[in-house]
Amino acid sequence: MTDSCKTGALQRHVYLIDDDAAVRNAIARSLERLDHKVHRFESANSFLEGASLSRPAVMLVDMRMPGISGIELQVKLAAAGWHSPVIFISGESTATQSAIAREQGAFGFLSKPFGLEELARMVDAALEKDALSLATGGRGDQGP
Amino acid sequence: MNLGFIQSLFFFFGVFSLIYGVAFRFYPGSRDRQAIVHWSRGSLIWGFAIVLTVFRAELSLVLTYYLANAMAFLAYVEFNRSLRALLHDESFSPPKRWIDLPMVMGHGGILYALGLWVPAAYSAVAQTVFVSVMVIGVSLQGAFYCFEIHRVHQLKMARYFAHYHLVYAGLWVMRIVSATVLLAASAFDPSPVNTVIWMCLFIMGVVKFIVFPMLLQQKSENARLSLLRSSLVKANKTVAAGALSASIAHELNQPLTTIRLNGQLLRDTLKNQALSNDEARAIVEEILGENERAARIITSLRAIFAGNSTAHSEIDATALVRKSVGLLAREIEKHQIRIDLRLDDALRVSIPEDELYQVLLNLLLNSIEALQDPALAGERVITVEARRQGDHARICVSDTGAGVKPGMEPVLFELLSTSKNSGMGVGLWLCRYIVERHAGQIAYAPATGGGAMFIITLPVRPEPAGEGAVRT
Repeated sequence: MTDSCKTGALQRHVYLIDDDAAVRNAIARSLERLDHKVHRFESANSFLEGASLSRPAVMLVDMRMPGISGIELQVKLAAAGWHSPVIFISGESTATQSAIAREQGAFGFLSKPFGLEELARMVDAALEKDALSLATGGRGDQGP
Repeated sequence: MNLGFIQSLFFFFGVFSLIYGVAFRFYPGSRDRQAIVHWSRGSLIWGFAIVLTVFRAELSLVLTYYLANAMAFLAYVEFNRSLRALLHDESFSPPKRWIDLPMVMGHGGILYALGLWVPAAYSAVAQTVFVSVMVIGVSLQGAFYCFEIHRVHQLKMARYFAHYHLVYAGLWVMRIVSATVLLAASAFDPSPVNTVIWMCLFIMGVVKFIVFPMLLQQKSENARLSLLRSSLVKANKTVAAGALSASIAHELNQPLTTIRLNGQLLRDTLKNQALSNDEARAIVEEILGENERAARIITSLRAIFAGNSTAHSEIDATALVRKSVGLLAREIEKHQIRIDLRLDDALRVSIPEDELYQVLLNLLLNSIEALQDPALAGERVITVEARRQGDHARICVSDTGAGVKPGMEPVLFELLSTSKNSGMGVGLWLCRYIVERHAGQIAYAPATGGGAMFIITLPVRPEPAGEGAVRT
């Protein structure tokens, strides 16, 4: 599922990593309606292996996945120099998990079951931020 | 008063028993109060009887022989009552006290009668044999209580004490031998054999007084530990319940999220007609599918928390296997899976239908999911076997998938242990919970082709008479 940016700076990318196919479909469909380019991955591993990244972008990561968890992925991304915002999707993640994610610089959290508006608002805000950091030439940071 | 060696032993042991009996009443820290009271009373009666015996030359024989022997017997009975109280954990009907007096009178009376009616040359032997037989009897009873205490309360000390009672009975057998063969019937007979026997009996008498408090100690220690254990189990259950509800919340949140997003998308796009028919249909299909998924979660909840009201229902496992496969027919067909059923007819098992249904669906869904792996080569087959094996039904669900990942086997049936891409590790845990609740077992084994195989065994209801079923 590699995809590089071909439509210039206007195309905004969402990297969606969720192990639940139905949830993945629903989120992707919703965001595609808003003209985002959605890249779907069913696990952190398949993302790490297969993604070529384009910006501005936001990453939507399920916190609780088999294999590499959301938080572990966040650490790997930071180490690899990924600077776009990360939004976590959580079902019933514990306070500790959220705290760790925040400390590691998560942009925000979406708790299931979330709605279309909430999703759009947070993704747009994150993309806005990444676009801005791209425009000012900064490396950007992941935290608010 | 001139005390011989054995008399001196009697005297000191008697006084010691009296002091011990009074002191034992105040034994601290044990919850076995009845046992303590009986033991204390036994020691007092014992001490009194023994001190009485010493004055055989000074006082009437009625007191020093007949009454003393009868009281010693009562003391043994009291000691056994104490053991019985330990065995039954205080929750038993207390012994009938009125029986004590007739027992003492009877014992003394028979001794007296033997003295009267048996020719003088043999009367002492006959009396000793009678006393010995009675002591052997109560000792064996004591041994029985101790073995029972060991079995019920798992106290190692109780087994030692049981053996102690057997040895004690053995010594009294020796006394019968010594009385009949060597004609050393009197307790104070100075013959070496008699002296050795009495020495042993005294040592054992002291040992008894030491062992019993140790037994009490071990019992209260055990009670403390089992209390600790049960509170740990309770705490564990609370943790499991917490983990379960978290897991259920997560599971339910998945379809809820999908349904909400899809529903809102549908609503918003319907407003401006920006959706093709095909797209709309796909969204509605997904909503319905997710709704089904949520409903399945609720069904499994019902299986977890169902009461025992239908616990004794009897169902046909074969029919239920067919029904489960039928329900999943669409999924099975969609993934081009072949189903191989090997079923005995009318396999009756005693488990609520809902619950076994849940187990079968879970196992079948696992297999279907395992067979969705695109990397799999060869035919995709799920085999369900339901056969009778002796007094058990064996239901076996196996597939030609990749099998359980190495390292997962030991935790397969534990809550929240999953390696799958969906589900949060409740399914197999629930299967085990249900099966074990109905006296069955579930196990995993690698299937011959390398896939997974789950084997359920459940007790079979006996065939009703007249149905012509032949059992080998």
